[in-house]
Amino acid sequence: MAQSLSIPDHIRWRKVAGEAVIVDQSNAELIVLNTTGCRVWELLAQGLSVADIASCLHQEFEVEQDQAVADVEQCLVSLQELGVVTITGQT
Amino acid sequence: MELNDLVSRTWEENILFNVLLELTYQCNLDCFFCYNDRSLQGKPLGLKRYQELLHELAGMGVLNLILSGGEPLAHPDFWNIGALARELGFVIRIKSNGHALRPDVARRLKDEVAPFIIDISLHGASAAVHDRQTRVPGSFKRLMQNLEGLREQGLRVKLNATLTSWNEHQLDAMHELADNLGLLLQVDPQVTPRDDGDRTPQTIRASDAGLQRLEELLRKRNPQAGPSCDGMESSTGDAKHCGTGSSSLAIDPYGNVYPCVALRRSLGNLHEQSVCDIWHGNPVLEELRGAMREVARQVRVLEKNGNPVRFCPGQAHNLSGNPAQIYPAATQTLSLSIKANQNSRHPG
Repeated sequence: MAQSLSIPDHIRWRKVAGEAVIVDQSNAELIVLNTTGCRVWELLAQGLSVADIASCLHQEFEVEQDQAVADVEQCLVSLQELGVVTITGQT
Repeated sequence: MELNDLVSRTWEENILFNVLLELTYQCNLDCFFCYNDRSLQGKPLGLKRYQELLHELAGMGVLNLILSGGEPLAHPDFWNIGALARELGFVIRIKSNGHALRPDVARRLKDEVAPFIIDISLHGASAAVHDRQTRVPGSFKRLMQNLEGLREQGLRVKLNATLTSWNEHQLDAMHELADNLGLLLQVDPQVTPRDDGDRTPQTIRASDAGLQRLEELLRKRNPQAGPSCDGMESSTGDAKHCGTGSSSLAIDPYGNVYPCVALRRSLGNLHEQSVCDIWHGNPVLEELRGAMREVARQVRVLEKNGNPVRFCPGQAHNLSGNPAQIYPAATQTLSLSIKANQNSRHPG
């Protein structure tokens, strides 16, 4: 089953000066992602898969594809632990 | 990044981040000290214009949207506006008197608007005091019932009060009431004139003893608390005094745009311009940004031993026409704060 990424309904966010400002309305937590994290977030919000997000980073940030996949997966795990991303299914 | 860092950054980089919409000046209460200028004339913004505005603000990166009034729920298109704001991903704060927030309305609010927080006005710890200020008998009883309903819906609520000569004797009781309800109470020490300059509301401003008691309570309950402006949290940044002109706007029911809800100096009108055009390259905003640096410098000089000066550029503008002019009430608060600090170190 393909992995499914989604942003929960109680999350609000904006891109501010190149960074992603994320508000978790359920617990009033504020998270700010740097430029790279912001790009991952933007692509996630557009509904892209892990592979597609990594491909974009590979092109935009000139990192190796395998490294991009690893970085994206690590980022998503962190965001999931913070409760701002839901990951279902398996790779 | 902490919230204070984010706030400071929006101030320093002039990033529009907070917008307050006064949807209507209609209200189901009649508070004696209400600051709204109900005699103001103009063409109300229609639903279509609000929809365009919300899309534009979202595109500009505005995250915090405050729905206010009057009573915002009294606006005929409140639900459409609120639902769109939710869809566009704003963090929505609603400023309400709570009078209409019956359980069915609270449920609808949660389902359709999903606000981050609802600021509700509290005027006293008893019906006699609260209803005297709202001038609507039964408003206190109804508010207490509605607060219970809001809690049951899991909606986040904060109580806001303005200290007056009519309720200052219940200051401790109001805090106790808030504690019993499990809610935070924020008390504004200053009654402001009406936006048309009418100073009638200030005839019930709090006494020195009431203001001092508030300072003592603040120090006792939250020693870290500093001045908190409407819609913004206090910042540790010291380059500008506040975000007026730098990260916030307020818009009245007729499309007039202001630097903030307190500073009624028009920047333009949404019937004639887009909010983006008003925000960028506006000479009044440029002037204010410089003024807020000057205010910060003046306040730093005045502040001694960590005692805050509670200065509002909006009030300064309304009193003198100069948003950087330190007015007597601001320094009065300083002297009361110093006295409260001395009392806390040497009680009795």
